[in-house]
Amino acid sequence: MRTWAPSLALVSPLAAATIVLAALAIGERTGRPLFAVDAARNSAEAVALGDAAAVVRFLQAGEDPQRVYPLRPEAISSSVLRATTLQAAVLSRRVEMVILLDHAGTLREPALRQELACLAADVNQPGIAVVLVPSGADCMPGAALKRWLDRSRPEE
Amino acid sequence: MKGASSRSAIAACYAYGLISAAVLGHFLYGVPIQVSDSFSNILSVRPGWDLFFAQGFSGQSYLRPLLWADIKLVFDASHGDYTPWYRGVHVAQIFAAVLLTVGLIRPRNWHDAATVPLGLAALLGMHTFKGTIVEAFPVNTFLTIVLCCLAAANLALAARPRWWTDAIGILIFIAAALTVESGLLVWVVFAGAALFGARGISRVGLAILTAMLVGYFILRFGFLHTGAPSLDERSSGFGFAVLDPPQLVERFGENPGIFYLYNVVASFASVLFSEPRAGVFRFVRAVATGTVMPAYVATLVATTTGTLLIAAYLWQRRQAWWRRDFDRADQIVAVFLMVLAANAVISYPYTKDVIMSAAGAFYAAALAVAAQRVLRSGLDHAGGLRILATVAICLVLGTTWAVRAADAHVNVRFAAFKERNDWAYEDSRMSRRGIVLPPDDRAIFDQLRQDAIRGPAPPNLWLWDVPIFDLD
Repeated sequence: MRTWAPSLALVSPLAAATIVLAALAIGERTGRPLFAVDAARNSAEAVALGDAAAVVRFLQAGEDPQRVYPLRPEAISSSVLRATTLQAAVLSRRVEMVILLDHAGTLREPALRQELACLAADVNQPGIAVVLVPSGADCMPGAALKRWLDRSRPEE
Repeated sequence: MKGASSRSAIAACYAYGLISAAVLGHFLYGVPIQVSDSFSNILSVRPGWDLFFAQGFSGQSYLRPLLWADIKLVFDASHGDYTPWYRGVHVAQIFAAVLLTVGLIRPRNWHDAATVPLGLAALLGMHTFKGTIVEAFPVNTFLTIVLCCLAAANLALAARPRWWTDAIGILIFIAAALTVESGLLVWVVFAGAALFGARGISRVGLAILTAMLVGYFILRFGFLHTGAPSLDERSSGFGFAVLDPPQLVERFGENPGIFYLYNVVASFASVLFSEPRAGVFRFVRAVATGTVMPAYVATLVATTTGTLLIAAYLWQRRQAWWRRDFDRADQIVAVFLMVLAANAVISYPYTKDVIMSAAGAFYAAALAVAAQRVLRSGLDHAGGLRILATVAICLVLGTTWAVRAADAHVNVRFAAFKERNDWAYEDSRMSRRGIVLPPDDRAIFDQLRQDAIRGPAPPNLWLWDVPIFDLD
C-alpha cells in the first residue's frame, strides 16, 4: 500500500476531474445537463443574459420583441422582473444588443425608438440613447422609466 | 507486478485516453466555426484550387501551400455540410493527438499507467495547447503540426527501421513543412531521436530527410524568395504589454535582434514555467499590481513543478547520459528538449502561445516518463519522510494539472458561447461597416450562421466566473 500511495495521490485528482467532465458530457448528450444554469426562457431573458444567438433564435421562432416577458432576478436585477425584449436590452445596458435588435427590424417605429431612448436616458445610458435617436431624444426625465414600471408591474 | 508488462494496464491507458478525447471532443463539437479567420478562409478556397498555388507558393512571408489544401479538401468533402465536417476533423485530430501521446509514453505496467493521466492532462491542459482547441482556421494547422511531430516521434522511437517507417516519415515531413513553418520541427524530432540512439528511421531515411530540409530552404529562399514575417505584420508581447506593429517598428526597427532574442527566450521559458505568456510577463505584472488570480498560481505551479520533475529526472540520469546509455524515456526527454529549443528559435519573429504547441506536447510526454522514473526511484529503499514528500509532490502535480485539464474544457465551452454570439452579431456588424457579400458568399454565411445559432445551445456552465479557470 505504501508504494502505491504516490501513484494514488497523482491519479486521484486527475481521474476525478475526468469523471466529472465525462459526467457533464454524458449528461448533456442524454439531455440531463449537470450543474448547468437554465438557458434563457424568452428573448428578453436572452437579451439580459447577453446570449445574442438565443435572441436571434427566439426572434426567428416568432417571439414579439414588444411583448412583456418575465425575467429571473439574476438576469438583470431583482427589481427588473418583467420587460419587453427591447426594454431588456436598454435596462441591461447592452448597446450591441440594441444594435442587433435594430438590425433585426424590431425598431422601425420612430415613437418606439423615442420611448426607448428616453428610458435609456433615465437609466443613465446616453450611449444607447444616441444609437436609438442620433439627433437626440426629446424626453421628460423619469417619465419613460415610470411608464416601464407601470407596464411591467405584475397583473393583480 | 511493478516491472512486468501488463496487457490490462496498457488497455486501461488507451481506454482512459479514448475517454479523455471523447469528452473534449464532445465539448469541441459544440463550438461553431469561428467568424474571424475561418469564414474568410472558407470563402478563399471556395472558387477552386487557385489559392493553393497563388497564395501557398507566392506569399511574401509564409510558405504554407498545404494549409490551404487542408481547408480546401475538407470544404470539397463536406458537400456544403461545413460545420460538422470541419468540427469533425478537429475532433478526429484530438483523438489522434491523445492516442499518439499514449503511444509515445508507452506504459507497460500499472506503475507506468499511473502517469498516463498526468501526461494527458498536461497535453490538453497546457497553455500552449489552448490555441489548438479554441481556434480553427477552420482546420487547426497548429494541431496538425503537433500530430505530425507526435507521429514522427512514435516512428523514430520504433525498435528498428523498416522501409515503411522511412517512407511515412518522409511523407510526414513534407506534409508538415508545407503546412506551416513550425512543421520543420518534424526533422528535429527525427534527428534528435537518432542523436540519442533511436533507430526507428534508417540512416538512409535520415539522410533523405536532411536533404529535404536543405531543399526546403533552397526552395523557400532561393526560388520562391519567400521571406520571414517582419516587425510590421503582427502584434507581439514584450515585457508587461502587447506592442502593436507601429510600436514594434518604433522600438526595434533599427535593431530587431534584441526583440527576436527576447521572443526566443520568452517562448522557451513559457513552456517550462507558463511565464511569460505570449511574451507578456503576466504573473509578474499581477504580483506587482496585486491582481494575482488563483488561475495564474495554478498554471505556474503545475508547469514549474512538472519542469522540476523533469530536471530531477535529468539529474538522476546524468551518468547514463554521459555514457550515452539511453533508453526510451531518455529519448523522449531529449526530443522534448530539442523540440523546445528549436520551437523557440522558430518563434523568433513574434510570440504566441500556440506556436509552442509542439514543444508543449512533448513536455507532456516528457513529464509522464520522468514521473514514472522519479516516482519509482523515490520509493526504492525510501523512508517514511521521503514517501511523504513524494506523495505531496504527486498531490500537487495531480491537483494542479487536473485544474488545467478542466480549464481546457471550460475554455472550449466559453468559446462555444462566444462564437455563437459573434455569428449572431456579425450580420449587424457587417451592415454597419457597409459590407455586402456577393450572393454565393452570402449563402455560405447564412448557412454557417444558422449552424451556429440554431438550438439547442451547449448548456451554459458559467464556470468562467470561477477564478481558478483562466479565460483569455
